Formats: sequence, C-alpha cells, structure tokens
Amino acid sequence: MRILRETNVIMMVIVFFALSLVPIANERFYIYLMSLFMIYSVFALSYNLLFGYAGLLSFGHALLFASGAYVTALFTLKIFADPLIGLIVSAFSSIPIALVVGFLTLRHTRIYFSILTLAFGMLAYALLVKWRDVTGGTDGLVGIPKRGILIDISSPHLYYYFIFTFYCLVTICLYLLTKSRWGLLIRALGDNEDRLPFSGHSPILVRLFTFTVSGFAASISGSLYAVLMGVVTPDVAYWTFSAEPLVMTLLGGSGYFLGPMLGAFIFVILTTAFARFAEYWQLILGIAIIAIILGFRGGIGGVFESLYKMRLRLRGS
Amino acid sequence: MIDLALLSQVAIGLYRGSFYWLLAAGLTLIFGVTRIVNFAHAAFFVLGGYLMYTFYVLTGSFLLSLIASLTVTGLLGALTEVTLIRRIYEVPPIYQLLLTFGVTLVVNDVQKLVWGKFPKYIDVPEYFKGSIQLGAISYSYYSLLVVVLGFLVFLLLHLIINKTIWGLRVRAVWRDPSVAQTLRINPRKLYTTIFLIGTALAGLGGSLIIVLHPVGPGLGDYLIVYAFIVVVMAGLGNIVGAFIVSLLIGVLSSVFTWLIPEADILLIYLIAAVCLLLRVGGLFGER
Amino acid sequence: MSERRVDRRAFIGTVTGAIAGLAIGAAAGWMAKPPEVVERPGATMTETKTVISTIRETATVSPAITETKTVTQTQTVAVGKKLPKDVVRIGVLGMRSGLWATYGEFIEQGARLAVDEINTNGGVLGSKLELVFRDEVADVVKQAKELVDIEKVDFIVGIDSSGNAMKVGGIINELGKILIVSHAATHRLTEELVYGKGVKLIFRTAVPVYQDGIASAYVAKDLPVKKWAGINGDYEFGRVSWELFKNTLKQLRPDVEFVEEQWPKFGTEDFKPFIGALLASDAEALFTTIWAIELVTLQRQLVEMGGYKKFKAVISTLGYSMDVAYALGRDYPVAELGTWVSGRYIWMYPPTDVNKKFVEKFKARYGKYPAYSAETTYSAIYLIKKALEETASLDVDTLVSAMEGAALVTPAGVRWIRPEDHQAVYEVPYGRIAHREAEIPLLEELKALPAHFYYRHPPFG
Repeated sequence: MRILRETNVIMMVIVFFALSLVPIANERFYIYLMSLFMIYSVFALSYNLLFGYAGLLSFGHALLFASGAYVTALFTLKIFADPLIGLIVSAFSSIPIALVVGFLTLRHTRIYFSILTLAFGMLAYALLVKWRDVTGGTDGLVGIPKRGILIDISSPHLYYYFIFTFYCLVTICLYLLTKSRWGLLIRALGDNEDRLPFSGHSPILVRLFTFTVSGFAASISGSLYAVLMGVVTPDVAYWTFSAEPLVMTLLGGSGYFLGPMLGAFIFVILTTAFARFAEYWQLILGIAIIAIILGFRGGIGGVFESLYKMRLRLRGS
Repeated sequence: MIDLALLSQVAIGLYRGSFYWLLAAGLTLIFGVTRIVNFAHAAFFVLGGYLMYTFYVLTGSFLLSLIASLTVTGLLGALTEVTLIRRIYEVPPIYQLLLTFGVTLVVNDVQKLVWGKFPKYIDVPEYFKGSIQLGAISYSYYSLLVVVLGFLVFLLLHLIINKTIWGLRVRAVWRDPSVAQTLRINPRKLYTTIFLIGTALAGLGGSLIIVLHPVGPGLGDYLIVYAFIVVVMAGLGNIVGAFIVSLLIGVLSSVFTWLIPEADILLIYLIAAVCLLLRVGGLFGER
Repeated sequence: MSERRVDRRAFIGTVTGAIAGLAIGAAAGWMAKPPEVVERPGATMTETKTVISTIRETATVSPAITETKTVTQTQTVAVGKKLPKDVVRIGVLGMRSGLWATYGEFIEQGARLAVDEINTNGGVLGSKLELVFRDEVADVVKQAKELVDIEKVDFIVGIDSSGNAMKVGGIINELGKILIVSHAATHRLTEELVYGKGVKLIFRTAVPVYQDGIASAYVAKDLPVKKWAGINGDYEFGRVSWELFKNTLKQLRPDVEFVEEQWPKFGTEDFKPFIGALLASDAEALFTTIWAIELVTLQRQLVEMGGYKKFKAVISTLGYSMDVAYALGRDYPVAELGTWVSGRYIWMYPPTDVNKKFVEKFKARYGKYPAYSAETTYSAIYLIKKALEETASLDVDTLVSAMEGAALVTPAGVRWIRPEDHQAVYEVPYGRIAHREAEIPLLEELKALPAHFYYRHPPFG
C-alpha cells in the first residue's frame, strides 16, 4: 500500500477525479478547454520522458504528434470511419516512424540531436504541405468523423470521456514505466549515460526504446487532437508546435513526473486568458513567462516540492 | 549560358550566406563562450533593422544610423543579460531558452507598438547605387557591400578572439570558466561584454539588410531557426566554422533553388540533416 | 427672514420641478416600449412592409463622362419588429500578430466603420451592434469557440488565413452561428464545405482565388507576350492560383508557354535565388500571387536585380493591397507593358457615390485609403444588418435563407450572394500601376470583367 502514499499517485487521483466532473457543469467551452488540456498533457508527458528522464532535447516531437493526427484523419476519411480504430492504427503506425527517425537521430548527442530532430520535424512539415493530393496541403483535411461504426462520440460530453479514458490510461502507463526497471534505465540515460554499458545495457537501445514509447504516446495525443478539431493542417508538424511541450515541461518542472501536466494546465490557462487582449497578448504572455522563470526557478513544480519539503521539516522527519 | 547562370546563383548565394553570417555571428560568439541559449537573438537582429530605419529617417546619414543602431541594440542586449539572464545562471541552461523566448514575445510586440505593422525599409544610400551585370542578373553594389562587410566582420572577430589579450581571456573562459577565475578573469563581466558585442553584431546585421529586406513585426521568428542551425552545424563557438557554414548554406540553397524550384521549403533542413548525419559532431569540431 | 422666504420659494420650486419631471418621465416611460431582455425563439414575421428606395447613382467614368442611373431597390423590412436582443454581438477574427498583422487591422477598421455607422443611424431595428476582436493566430478554433460560448457572439466575421477558414468552417455547424469570411481565399471553403457538404452557415463576401487565377488570365491574354514565368508561395493559395492561371490562359491563348516556375516557402525573407533563376530563364513576363510584406521584398529585390529590365509585364494579383501600396509608394516598380495589380476590392472602383462616400469616410477616420479586407468586412457587417432587418430574427436558418440570393449595394458594387455556395459575386478590376503624384500609386486602364465570366460555377467539377 506504499504506492498509495506516493505524492504522484495522490495527485493523479485528485486530478482524474476533478477532470471526470467537468462535463457535469455542462459548459461547452470549458469541456473543450479541458479536452485540449488533456491532449496537451499527454503530449507534454510523453515529451518529458525524452527530455526530463532521458536528457534528450528534441525539437521534432511534433512529427510524432502530426503522424498520429494525419494517420487518424486519413484512415477515418478514406478507409474506415471510426475514431477508435483510427487511434489504434495511428498509434501503431507511429512505431516504425519513431524507429526510423530515432535510428537516424539518436546516434548523435545533445545539441546535434536537437537540430536533427528539428530538421526531421520540418521535413515532415514540408511533406505534409507538398503531398497535396493526399494531405490537402495547407488547407488540410476536413470532416474527420466523430461518429464511428464501433463508437459514437459526436457529442462534446462523449468525446470528452473518450479523451479522458486515453488520458488516464497513458498517464498511468507512463507513470508505471518510470517506476519500473525500464524507468531506471531511462533515468540512467539522463543522469550518467556512460555507466549504462557497465550494467550490460546499450545506451542506443535504451534511447530508441524511450523515443518509441514517447512517440507512441505523442501520436495518441495527435489522434485525439485530430478528431477533436475535425480538421488537420500541416502546422501541427511545425517546429514551433514542437516547442510547446518543451515550454509546458519547463513551466511545470521537468524533474517531476507530473510537472509537464501542471505546465500544460498553466499554458492553457495563460494562453486562453491573455488571448482576450486581441492585439497584445504576446506581450503579456512574454512578461508572464519571464516573471514565472525569474520567480520560480526550476518551474512551478519546484514550488510544490519546496512546500512538501517544508512540511517534512515541520513534521520533524 | 549554363555556367554564367551557375555563377550568378553562386554570387547570389554569397549574399545570402553573408546574410546568414551576419545573423549568426553574434550568436556564435554568445553561445560559444557563455553557452547561453539566446532565443531572442533574431528579434534583436530585426530590432537593429527597425532602429536603423528610425535613425536614418532622423539623420539621413547611413553611416551614423548604422553606428547608432548597432550601439543601441548592443546595449539593449547587454541590458537583457544583466537584468534577466544573469538571474538564472544557477538553473539548468534550458530555462534560458524559455526566458529568452519570453523576451522574444515582448520584443515582437514592442516592435508592433513602436513602429506599427506596415513593412519598413530604407533606400540604397546614394554612394552605393548602381550594379554590375553578372549574366542575366544585376548584382548591386550594395549586395557586394554586404558580402564585403560580412567578411570584414569575420576577420575582425577572428582577429580579436585569437590575436588580442582580451581575446585570450575570452578563450580562457571558453575552455574552463573555473580555471579562468583562478587567473583573476571575471567570467560574469566577460559574459556581459560578450552579450553586448554579440547583440551589437546582430544589430549591425539587421541594419544592413533592411535596405534589401523590409522588416515587419515578428520577422525574427522566421530567422531564429537559421541562426541556430548555422551555429550548431559549425561546431559551437567556432567562428571560422560559422562563417564558412553560413556561406555554404547560402550558396547551396541558392544553387539548389535554381536547379530544383520545388525544394525551397525543404532545403535548409535537408542540408542540415545531411551534414549532421554524415558527421557525428559539428562540421568543424567544437572549440 | 428673507432667507427663509427664499428658501421656501426655492423648496417649492424644487418640489414642483421634481413632480413635473417625474410626471413627464413617467409618461415618456409609459409610451416607450420596454426593452426586451428575454430572448424569444425566432418569431415568425406577420407584418412586413415593402420598402422601395430609389438610389440615384452618379458615376464619373472619366472627366468628360458622367452617367446618372436610377437604381430601384426593393427590400422587405419587418415593420415594428424588434430583434430578440438589444445588443447583437459580432466576433471578428483576423491575424493580429506576426508579419501579417496589418491584415487583422484592416479587418478591424472595416468592421468598426460599419458598426459605428449603423449604430449612429439607429442600429438594427433599434438594437445595437457590438464587436469582439480576437487574434486568429492564437489558436483559431479556441478563439471561435470562446467567441460563441463565452462572449456569446451571434455572428463571426473575418479570417485572413485559408487554413484557419477551413478549421473554423469545419466546426461551424457545431458552433451554430453564421460565419462570414471576408478575406481567406480558398475555393474549398465555398465549393467543398458549402456546396459539397452543405454547411449552410458559411458565407464569403470577398472574391476568392478566382480573382488571382482566372481574372488574371484575361489580363494576360491581351498582353503581347508569349512566355510566362510564375513565382508563387509553396502552399495552397500559390499552387491553386498558378494552376488556374495556366489552365485559363492556355485556353485563351494557346500560343502561350510557361517557361519557369519558382516556389518560395511561405514566409520567405529573401527572394534573390528565385529571382536569379527567373532571370536566367527566357520568360518575358512574370506572374505572382505573393502578397503583403513578402511582396514588398519581392518587388524591391526584383528592381535591384534588374527584373524590370527583363520582364515586360508583371501581374501581381494582390499588388494593390494597401499595405504594399503604402510601403512601396513612389518606389512601386512599373514594367514596360505594365505592372498589373488587383486585390479583393479596388478603392477607385466602381466610381459610384456609395463607394466614394465610403472611401471618404474611411480616409477621414483612418488617414489612408481603404484596404480591400476593410471593405469586404464592412460589407459583411451590412449583410448581417440586411438579414436581421428582413427577418427580425436571430434564428440561423431564417437568417441563412434571407442571406441566400441577397443582393447588396456595397462600396465594391452590387454583391449577389450566390445561393449554391454562399459566395458573394461581384467583379474586381485589374489595373496598371501609374504614378500620379499621390502618396500611393494609382491605377489606370482598369479592366473589370463581369464576375460571371471568371467565377467558377456549380457543380465545380
């Protein structure tokens, strides 16, 4: 029962419970906002596996997200109109993509890896723009169905719970992964990679594994996004979109499992709130980001850790 | 005919490469020495262009405006370093990326506020009007000037870093900041100076190119990627490498655009990917 | 003693005045209808009045020719009806940040001018119009949803980017409000979404890509050049326009050849390599759909590299957009056989009083000639007003029926909202850039083709 005392588990239970109640309030926009939050959460959590745990700074994560979005869109529009099947197909199609891209990029380290992933992400973007007959180019694919053969999620409530299911599943799976032996290996990559071979593990294989798992989760978030929007356009592959999970992770704190989730929440709240200032929201967002970084060094997750530590100290443990 | 067309494209490529060099030179210096990831670098480049526009409208003198603009930009860069970036030296460097991203957002909207949304450019200064004929194209004297100035900037930077006492200090800090401290070199003060020079270089670049490239608010967002690609491909902090890589990318993208008109959207990323994949590590090794 | 008398007189005076005031106020209040606070579900119209208005149009075609035409316009106006709401809110989306921020501002200018005019003239059936602005760059789908669900707008107008128009168009049925696009040019919005998929809530007041790809070919056909080169952005707008231009021109002039095409990516800051390739070809004329700041860069670099010595004619489909006209000003290059430009509205066409008044008002308020997307947005607001006045309803299906087939007198001319695809049909001319000592270049030799000639028609196959 020790696992129940784990802060992360407690937080997850609280957050899952709170999220499950959102549709009851019946506010369509907030249902949408929280749907977005869940999708971004999964995206950012998957990103942090690579970034916070394995120490790999990727600027091409949008590639996997876009693969999930586009494969789902194309599958449901052209082959079989069911969002659930579409999601499964796109999640598993992401594996060969992640393996290929991973194989090419992961042999390089640090900043070279980062620029390579940026390059691959942008090449994917170019492909989506140019392969017009298939992808619809910059006008995109429209009419992605929510009403499937197996599953009908065409109301915002139903769709919310569909996203919620996968959000919980992926979060729990990623959490269990970080707690497992594999999690230790991934962490070892980030902490001190040179010692991995001494325990009989190949760093490149561990990296590839991490990249693929991370990509799998990212493509799920992409698939959910495509069906939520009903339309996909190539900008989901652009490098600025790859930067968003990084921003979310940094805001929340990359050293904590739930940091990216917190960051995603902050990101959604801030961007939505500031967008009310149609003309100068970037200025306000920029100031907010600067203030957050200067105020909370190490992301806002650090605040909770300090509070927790303070509580421990007060309890005299 | 074919040869002359190729030559023209190469000449155009040299101009473009000089553009990339002027954009990336300052970042190479800053990133190389301080390892600070200044995402706002391109925003300062564009700011240099805007300042040049204003000073030129006020004074009518190209040279004066150039000097004024690069100085102000440099000072603004140093100010950013002292007030903001310095406060987060202890945190993981990636947070500088986020912080400077915030700075970019602010600078973009300030540009919109101060200069408005319409594109701004300045005319070719009188003494540089005219061009030479290179095959089918007219190669303006001003483009030539940009190429020459780019080269001079490179020479100057290279000489300062490698042949002066101050440059020696920079290289010491480059190698090992803690050892440098034992030699009574203050890394902090040096960082600010590097930031000043690096951002001033960006300002210089922006000021020069506004003659042939109108600036608009947020133009930097499109340029920052080029800057980082150049810096990384060259090998971090490698000034010679950055100069050569910039010109190389400029020439290659120019020639390939002519050969394959469809390629532009892919080119710079393809070039970067191929180069990085073929070599493990930077093109010219790290300093 | 005298003080108290004064006091008493003052007191009586005050009380009398108060009673009189109250009485008058009560009477006035009694006579005025109480404002409707509760929304009534679409009331059916029982009482209508047919208003015949006569508009005397004086058009100055040239200094020597003035025509006067009497246009009789019949409009059904709901008599004595009021809208279910006192305030009708209209959400406005446009690009407010980034390199195309001028366009969001143009949309705002047009919207504000229309709304202020309407509100000063009694509003719509007594109700006021209110605008809510959002940046479409900040996640357009989120903005659209927020506008409808939180800001409670009754209509959405604007949208600069085609990709964003498709995104909002894709969810508009879910949002349940009418969308009037006033800039985004993709044909897929009207041909695919409205005509193909039956999404009736989408309308467009701006001429789409037909202007760039088809009308331009009619200009090209009359130019004594045979070899064309094209430089267009590597995205849908550039691709579709170039395809339409080539296909149309080939039919009109089978002797024409397309010798070179260049595809700079969207958001290019340096066109030199492309220009070098264009100059190396044997093209005689250049076609481009590049717009906004990129067009300013392209033109300046074309001049610098001798492009205007080589190309005898240049067609720049969005070349008379006001940000470009003002930015280039006297530097706007002129080709030997002309630099032919257009937009989605040209401020000097048609030379009607309606248009002249609009241009005057716009210039007086904003200091510049109206940009095309200002006029298209202005007209979108007036389309809303017309539908509201006719139906006195906010029910979308009722409004859609009122808008379909509507003919609206706007600054750009008469716009007919084609029922099949909800596309406004009106013609926009191409003109030749001429420098006439004004702050912006003017256009001469306006070539206005009747819209039905160059618009695509259902079934769009």
